[in-house]
Amino acid sequence: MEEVVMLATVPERVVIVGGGIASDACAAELRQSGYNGSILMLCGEPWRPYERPPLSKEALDDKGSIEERFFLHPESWYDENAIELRLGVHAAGLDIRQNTVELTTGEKIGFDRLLLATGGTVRKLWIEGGEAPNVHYLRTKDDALSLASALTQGSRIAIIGMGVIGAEIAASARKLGCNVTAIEPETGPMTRALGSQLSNWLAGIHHKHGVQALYGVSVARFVMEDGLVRAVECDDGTLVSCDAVCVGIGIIPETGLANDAGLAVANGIVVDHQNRTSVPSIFSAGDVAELPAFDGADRVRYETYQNAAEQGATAARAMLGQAADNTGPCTFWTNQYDLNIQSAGKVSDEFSIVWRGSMGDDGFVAFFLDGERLVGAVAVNRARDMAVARKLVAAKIDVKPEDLASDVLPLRSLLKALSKN
Amino acid sequence: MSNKWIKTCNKSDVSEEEPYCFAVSAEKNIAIYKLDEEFFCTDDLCTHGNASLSEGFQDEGIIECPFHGGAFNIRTGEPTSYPCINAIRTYSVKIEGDTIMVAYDGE
Ligand SMILES: Cc1cc2nc3c(=O)[nH]c(=O)nc-3n(C[C@H](O)[C@H](O)[C@H](O)COP(=O)(O)OP(=O)(O)OC[C@H]3O[C@@H](n4cnc5c(N)ncnc54)[C@H](O)[C@@H]3O)c2cc1C
Ligand code: FES
Repeated sequence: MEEVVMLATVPERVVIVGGGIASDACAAELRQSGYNGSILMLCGEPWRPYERPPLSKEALDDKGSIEERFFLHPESWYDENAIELRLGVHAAGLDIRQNTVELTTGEKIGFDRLLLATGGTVRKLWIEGGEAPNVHYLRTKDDALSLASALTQGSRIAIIGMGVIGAEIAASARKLGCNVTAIEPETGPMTRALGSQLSNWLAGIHHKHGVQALYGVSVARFVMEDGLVRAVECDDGTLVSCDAVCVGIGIIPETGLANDAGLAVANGIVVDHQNRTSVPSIFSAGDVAELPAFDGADRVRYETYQNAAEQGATAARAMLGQAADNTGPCTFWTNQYDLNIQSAGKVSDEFSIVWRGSMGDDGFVAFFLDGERLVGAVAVNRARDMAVARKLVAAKIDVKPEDLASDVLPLRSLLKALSKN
Repeated sequence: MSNKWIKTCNKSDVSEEEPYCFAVSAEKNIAIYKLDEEFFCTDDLCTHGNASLSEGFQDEGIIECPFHGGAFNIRTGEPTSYPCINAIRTYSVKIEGDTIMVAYDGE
């Protein structure tokens, strides 16, 4: 730590490496918090910061929208707020003694505070044919443009991995009239995010909408013809003929810069509750950052929109020496068919579930309890309940199961009882 | 088009905890809020995505969107929290007896 250049008390130059939502939220919060110095954002992609969530949902319905819509801010906003964007620029090196970032062109850029919000890149399937032009991954607008072209009416789509992204693509592809077969080694879709009961329920929904799913099997190899994947052979011998393959098997956090520079890196760039890395002038936020878990017991890396935005804002305040704390629960949502599924906190088979409404209803909430402690909640088409449930989970409280289950008792009354205590 | 006062709901339909969602047409809903014994009205649709703000969490003068953490000032419609950028439209409100009337121009 002694080697680190003294922190300028009031930063004058903030450099942000990334260009996703964590980067954008950091820039927005810096200005919101009264920072007047320079902000330079180095965006690896050729697009100004945009929303990824629509890319597996509504954007696939309308290819034209992918280029035109889903930006986080209009172009003029960056000018008005004196945020300099450099698009399609890659930071290749980081010098923590000189406080400089080096671009692939060799140009060096100095900073007083740096944010590393480099997100993640898709995990690839390293089998023969994995790079064929009809094998799609989905992380960027460019990926979505090419995937959208493949999802034509009647085309046969093999989806590998029914995590959040795979499940959303399956739903979108069905809506577009594709024939969809999903291959997933787990027992159902999104088991990691939803636990087995809700996963089984969601498997039923996908089945009802015509997705043919093969659970408990993995990909053995691709059957190739003329450089394209014509079928996916599973490890149980099943052969799935296809026109295109979509692979959704997770992301790898983009920790290279931090690693090479000697910052602490574990399953992500290690940060504290203020998104500060092991070097005080350098912060990290979003999918790439590993932070103290909400319950303090562990360290975690979230791959969700709202957490990325909150961490970017936390880092901004911490850069300015203002109060900042990122230790909220993990929250995310997914939209599939006519379902809006929202989640907060810990969701796992190790906890007991209290139902508000029941699975199969138009809307319901599953509360996850560790003994009497409310640790998580998943709401399906129950936005109003979820708006409160999120706060109940964040409050780390003990609850009576019957209060959560009673549809006549507004959840908000539990929150009120809490503030009186 | 000039404003028309339209009848919406009764005062008792709205609480500080639960804004009221009123359909002004097949495509459009408005949200009616109670705040310190006064009533306010905004568009119901969040400017960020497809969320109904009347399902959000009202914390005094702020309505928090139930979807992605965005929020708006109920009185002015201004966004107060990321990722919401564009303001929601607000509408004038007057009370006639127990009925809440909203100035709505049909657009
Ligand atoms: C298709 C899809 C759907 C999703 N849906 C949901 C959803 O419904 N709900 C939800 O909660 N979350 C969802 N997510 C997750 C959410 O989008 C991510 O959590 C969020 O984008 C993370 O933001 P970030 O800023 O940390 O990283 P990213 O968005 O990954 O941005 C990082 C950026 O940094 C750039 N970069 C990397 N290295 C460098 C470098 N050296 N120099 C310059 N730039 C660099 C990258 O090119 C990238 O543009 C979805 C993600 C995807 C892909
Ligand atoms: S829809 Fe309201 S914040 Fe996203």
